Amino acid sequence: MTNPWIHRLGGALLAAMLLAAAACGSSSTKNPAYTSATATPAAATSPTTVAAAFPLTVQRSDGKALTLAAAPKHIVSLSPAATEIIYALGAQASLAAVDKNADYPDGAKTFATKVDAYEPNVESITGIAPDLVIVSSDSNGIVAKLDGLKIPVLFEDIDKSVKTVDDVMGQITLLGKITGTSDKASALVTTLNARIKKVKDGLADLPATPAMKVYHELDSTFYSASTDTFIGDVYKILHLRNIAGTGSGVAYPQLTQEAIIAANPNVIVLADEEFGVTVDSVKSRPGWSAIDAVKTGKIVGLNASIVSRPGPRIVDAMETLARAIYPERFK
Amino acid sequence: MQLAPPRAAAARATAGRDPALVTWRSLVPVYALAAGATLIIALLAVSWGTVHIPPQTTLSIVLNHLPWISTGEHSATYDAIVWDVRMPRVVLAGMVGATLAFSGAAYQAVFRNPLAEPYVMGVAAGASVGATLIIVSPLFVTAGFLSPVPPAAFAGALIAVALAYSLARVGHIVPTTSLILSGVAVSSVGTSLVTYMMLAYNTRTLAILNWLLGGFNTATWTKVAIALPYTALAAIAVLPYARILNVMQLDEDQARQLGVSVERVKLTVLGFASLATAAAVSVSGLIGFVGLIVPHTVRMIWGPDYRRVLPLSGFFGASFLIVADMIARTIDPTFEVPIGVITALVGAPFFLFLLRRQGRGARGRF
Amino acid sequence: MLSVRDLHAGYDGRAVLRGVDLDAARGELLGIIGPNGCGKTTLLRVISGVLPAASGSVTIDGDEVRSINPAAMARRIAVVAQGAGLPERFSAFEVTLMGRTPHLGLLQSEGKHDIDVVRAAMQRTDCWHLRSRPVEELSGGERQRVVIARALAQEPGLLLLDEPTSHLDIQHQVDTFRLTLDLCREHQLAAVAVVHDLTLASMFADRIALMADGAIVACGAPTQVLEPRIIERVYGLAVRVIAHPATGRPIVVPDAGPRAMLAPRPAPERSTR
Repeated sequence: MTNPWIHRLGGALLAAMLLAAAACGSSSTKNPAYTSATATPAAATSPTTVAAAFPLTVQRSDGKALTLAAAPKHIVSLSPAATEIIYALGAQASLAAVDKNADYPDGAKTFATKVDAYEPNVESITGIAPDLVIVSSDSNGIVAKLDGLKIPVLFEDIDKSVKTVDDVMGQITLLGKITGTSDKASALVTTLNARIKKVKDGLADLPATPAMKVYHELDSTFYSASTDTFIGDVYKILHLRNIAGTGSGVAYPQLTQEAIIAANPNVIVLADEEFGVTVDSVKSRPGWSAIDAVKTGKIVGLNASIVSRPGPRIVDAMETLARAIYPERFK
Repeated sequence: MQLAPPRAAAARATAGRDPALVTWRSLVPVYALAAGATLIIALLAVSWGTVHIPPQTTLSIVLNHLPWISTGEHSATYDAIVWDVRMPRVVLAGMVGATLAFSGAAYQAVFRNPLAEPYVMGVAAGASVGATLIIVSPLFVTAGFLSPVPPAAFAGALIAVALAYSLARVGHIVPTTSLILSGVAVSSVGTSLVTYMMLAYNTRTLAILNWLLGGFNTATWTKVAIALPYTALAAIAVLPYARILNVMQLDEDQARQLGVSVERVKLTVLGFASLATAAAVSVSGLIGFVGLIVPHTVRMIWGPDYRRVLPLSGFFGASFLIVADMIARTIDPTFEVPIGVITALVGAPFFLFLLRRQGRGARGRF
Repeated sequence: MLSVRDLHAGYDGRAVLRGVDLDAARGELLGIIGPNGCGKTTLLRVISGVLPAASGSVTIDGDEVRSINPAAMARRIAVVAQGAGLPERFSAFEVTLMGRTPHLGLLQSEGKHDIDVVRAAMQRTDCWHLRSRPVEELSGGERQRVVIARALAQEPGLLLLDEPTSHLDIQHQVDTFRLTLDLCREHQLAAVAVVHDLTLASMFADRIALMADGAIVACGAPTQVLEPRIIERVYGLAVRVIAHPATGRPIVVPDAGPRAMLAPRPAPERSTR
């Protein structure tokens, strides 16, 4: 004879499941909140040459073309870099939603509507009714899905299209055109280029072949960035030889400890504090005391988001590194 | 009651040769040979890496670090690479391999089931939950190099096993089929929790995945020191039961009637094997295949006597994982192949080959 | 040497043995017969110490079974069960050698004396020539002999056999019981064998105990127990008893005449204690 207790438990589970299903069903018709506060921008920038700038056609990373009839007003940005640039251009009023990882500037961090860029939910994005979605990495085929729904997508693949500092300036210019803030964009690019030139001038007398080697650490399992990335380009500007080299064709190769020790870098740049790595923890790694950078203490910790986002702050990083590596040249 | 001597004497005249007895003493040469082979493989592995260091230099550096031996000065870089990076890696790989294979053999003995292996009672899932909880918590960032992940993984593993054991218990008997089922249940719950956390905390997904896939690229002498006591303890506690485990291959009733305290043996063997496995998993992540395949391979080659299977599984598992780690860290210059991939790719075909050879034998002469 | 007094035992509140009284002496083969479900196997499990008794006493040479630890028990009692599973790839010799387990300490390995005992046991049961063969290659009859050899190697005083021949052909059935009886005599063992086959029991057992509903309803020489009325009452089957032409032992055959089908045997009561 079966235990009556089992029967009661089974019935309770079934009832619970039915209740849960009913609750989910009723909430799915709710749209994510769209705060009308962002609809009337306080610091709206008046586009000057808007008449000539649109319609605008842009080549995407996947070769397809994006055509915009006018400057978009409800942008969903799945790219934290693009979000930063848009804020830097003062065009944040045109943003309807940003991705969960956007944390700079503060306005982006506390933005009312957030979507997930890693597992993009097409339904919730569609529910926001965007007139442009900016994507920097095509996870879960989001680009194809949005194309299928006839939602305009700006797909700038970070790994393919933004590999030098100049490319970053290009991104700023592009977003300036798209948001109708081209004059602000060109002003920003000019300022940034001036700062970059200052760094380059300060190192102009260094020999063409870099004497110092750098190891850029992305995580605690020794993933690094090759010369074929925008951060790799920063190191090139700083006259540093990247020990990851071309990464044998891989943009972010994983190095082995012994290769790092053998390469004996003079500078170590840490971009993995979120993995618990600090300057002190690197110094205490067994075997690393043989490395020049550890001996001289030339280990620089950088904010991971600055270093991994091709945006205006990359120049901040460049200047910080210049001051840390060449203290006698840059105060 | 004694068997009548006169009959025995008469019978022995026509008896033919007695079969050889397996005793601990008779096995010493086999153990020594296996240990020697493992040591040679370990030394080869230490000489091998992405940075080319001549083998003589390697040996010289290793000897220099041993007490009472000095072989002179060495380049600081080479010394750091050999002693601080490669040696702990090889030693840890050997220890974890030995532990997983030894425990796998012990589990297969107790469960009398060829599919049993150390993760079946929830060690893997429990360790994953423990490790993941730390990785997604603020503790992961603040703790620095002395990570709380290994102790959390260890605790998680033990809790899972204890849970599986107590769920399966009926009175003071723990039926082995119930134990497998409760282990599967606990493992499923653990795995789903980990999957959920991986997706919910997507900035830590890569870190969690790194831990799950297992590997020795962050091996240190500290980790070796952490895991060593448990491995040694398990070996010392379980090995004496080898002969009893042979008897347990009869069904449990027969074993009981031959005087074996079946429940006590189960608890002791499974307990120590799980403890050692938990320690291994906590310092190296989840490495599959070793606990299942190595004991079977050893059994196929050297027979079912656990006085051979247990220690030889240990040595063979150590060598296997050392070699797999060698391949994992040198085969691709752009990243470290997760070691679980290597163990599967290397182990599976070898196992299939052995299986076919045994199958042919069973079908008669070929 | 075996003495069972007023034994009650069961599983999970279901009583199976209700007051069993039994004796077995050294040198004799006691056969236990009875219908399915009457508690024969349960009785053996209690005697061998695997199942605890609810009440009553079971003593071996005067010592209470419940006070003997498992290893000591195994030196006194050996069990030959039906269809005992043997692990693959172990040789017949290795399996028989497992019978020495109760005589060895944890770290001890088998030694010369153990080989002597095993060799003698295997020669006596005529399976020594099979010693190097893996057990999975042996026939049912050969395997049974290995199991008996293993039981002998334990050097017990009491042999318990639970339907040791139900799966064997008639030659092996006779061989097994012949061997068992001879061993009883030669080594002064007591043997208690649960048998289905009434004829086998009659031919080889010195005494027979007939069980029904968890108790012994008749016990004595085969001629006393294998009586038509007793058999009919217990098995619910009309039978005739004839005498074996050579030995005079009672052979029970089902009746085919008009009295062939009696009223169905009432089902044994189930206690819901």
